[in-house]
Amino acid sequence: MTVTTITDAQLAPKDYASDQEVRWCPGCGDYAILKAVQKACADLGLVRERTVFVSGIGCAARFPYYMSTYGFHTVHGRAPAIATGIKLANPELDVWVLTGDGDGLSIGGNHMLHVLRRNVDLNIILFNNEIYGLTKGQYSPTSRRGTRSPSTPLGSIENPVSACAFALGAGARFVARSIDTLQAHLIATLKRAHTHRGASFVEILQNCVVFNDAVFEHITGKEVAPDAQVLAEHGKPLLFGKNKEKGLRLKPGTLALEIVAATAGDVLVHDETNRPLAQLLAALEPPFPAAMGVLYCSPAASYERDVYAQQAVPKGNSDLDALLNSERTWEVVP
Amino acid sequence: MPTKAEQSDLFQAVHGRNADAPLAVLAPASTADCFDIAIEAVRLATKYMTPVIVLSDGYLAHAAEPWRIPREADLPRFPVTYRTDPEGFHPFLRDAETLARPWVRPGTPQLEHRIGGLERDYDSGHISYDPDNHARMTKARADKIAGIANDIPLQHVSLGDDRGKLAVVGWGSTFGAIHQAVKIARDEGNDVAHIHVRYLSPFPRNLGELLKRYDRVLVPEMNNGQLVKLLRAEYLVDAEGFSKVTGKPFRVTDIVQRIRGGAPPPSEGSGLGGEAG
Ligand code: SF4
Repeated sequence: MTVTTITDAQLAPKDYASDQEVRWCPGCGDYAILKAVQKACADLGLVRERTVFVSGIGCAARFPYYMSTYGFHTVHGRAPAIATGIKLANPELDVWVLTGDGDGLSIGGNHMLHVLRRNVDLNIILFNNEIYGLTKGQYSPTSRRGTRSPSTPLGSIENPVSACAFALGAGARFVARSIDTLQAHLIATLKRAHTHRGASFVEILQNCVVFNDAVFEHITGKEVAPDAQVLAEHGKPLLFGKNKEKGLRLKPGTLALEIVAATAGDVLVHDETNRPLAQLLAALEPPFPAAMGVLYCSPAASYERDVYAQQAVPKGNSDLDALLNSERTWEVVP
Repeated sequence: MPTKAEQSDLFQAVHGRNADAPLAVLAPASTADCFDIAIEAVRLATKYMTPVIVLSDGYLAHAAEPWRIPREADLPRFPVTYRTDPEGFHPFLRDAETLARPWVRPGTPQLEHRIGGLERDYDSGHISYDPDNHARMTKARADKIAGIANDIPLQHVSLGDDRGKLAVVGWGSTFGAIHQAVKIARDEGNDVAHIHVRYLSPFPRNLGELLKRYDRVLVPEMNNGQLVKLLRAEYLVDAEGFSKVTGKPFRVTDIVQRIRGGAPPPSEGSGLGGEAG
């Protein structure tokens, strides 16, 4: 199997928009993500007929309708299965999966696990708004303990799943995190994800203005952002704070991180090929800053590549008649 | 009961889909028939662009029988035509005969479009919540499946005459037991026929008319009476159920006895439609 890369440098972001009216709530973070994806498509020169957006169910899942590419709005939680089929049928297609914290980690948690483990060459974008938006605001698997919602009126007593920690646990070879409002960073992250061969998993913190407004304010708020986010860039020290005056290092004698002054000599340098480090970064919770950027990238053979490689090897019984008449068959002579 | 023989998922197959959207359901009569019915299912699925359920059961899965191996060259062929011409292309136009839409492979230039589970405008394919359009689309989905009846064989009688006193109607793996039972009962001089239904949704288009030519219709099933309810609902025939839900297949004698007019042994099942008249 040889995959040819053809690009279309003539297209602008608006050329990737379909003629459909976008129907998210005014102010929803999804608009910014749509804009970022369209910009990334234009920057990458994606050919529209070779690009496929696949979604499950939820607010995020409306995404394919708004793209001028091929699109499939499919079964709740099952976009990874359909996307896998599309990619296997034609590995030259550029296949994206759009999902949310409900679709991808609740009803579709099993599918997400297996598509990441198999390492199918898909760009998987998970919109995390920590709530079920489409069904009007029930708590989701990423909702934090104490979240009050119509289905948890006394506050959630469940422990949330971390999307990036889940992806790493499932064996994903590319795991990144960004934020709807962080346009430049988001576009760059999407482009990196696209370049990665194999399953790339991008979690986007997305504000649901109607049912979970400002749930990420402690990370994204202008005032707090410098202290609440640490940008992971390969080969660069993990520094944060208004003047990059703080850093992360391994707490001596442990396998845990701690915050130190940037001047401390042993601030960790981000190594995106280091899975244990990625796991530590993905799991950071306040008082630590939330890690943004490419937490982990370590390419390996992708599933569809191996499928085609296996099929390319000639086998003994490739003709159906020979196969059906092999082994324990006999002929009844009248 | 997993791994045991049962036919209890017929309703789920025929009616189990969301949103009043029917699909095609076939059931193989024997182990050998599984091969042919799988090919038939793919033919219908690709021609009508619909999911097709092949309803097998534990009895067939565990059974073995001699099967004449076909030659690949003799297998039916039904290539799918993919649309590539952008001229006049509309992803939501339906074929006048099958009501199916064109097959378009992602990767085909200028045919980019989006499909999904939300209701669509009949013509443009844009998401539509228009009440009349929804009614029209719901009917179109039903008509598409109903139209398959014109593309499948007419219902024939497996054994006996195409009219008379009693028809024993079965589906799936009970074929052998019913067939033997009807043979024995006929040898004894009973006016009885065996009808085996392989196409369960839609039914063959002559099925209702055929059933009405018998004084009585008896439907043995390894469930609590599912095909019998479908036949009664569809054709208003006074079909009688004969259920066995023990996880064990029918014995020929169960059915012979029932044809003769006797009650089945109590531990082996009970009639749903009361005593045979
Ligand atoms: S419910 Fe929330 S996530 Fe859904 S469109 Fe509205 S704001 Fe966006």
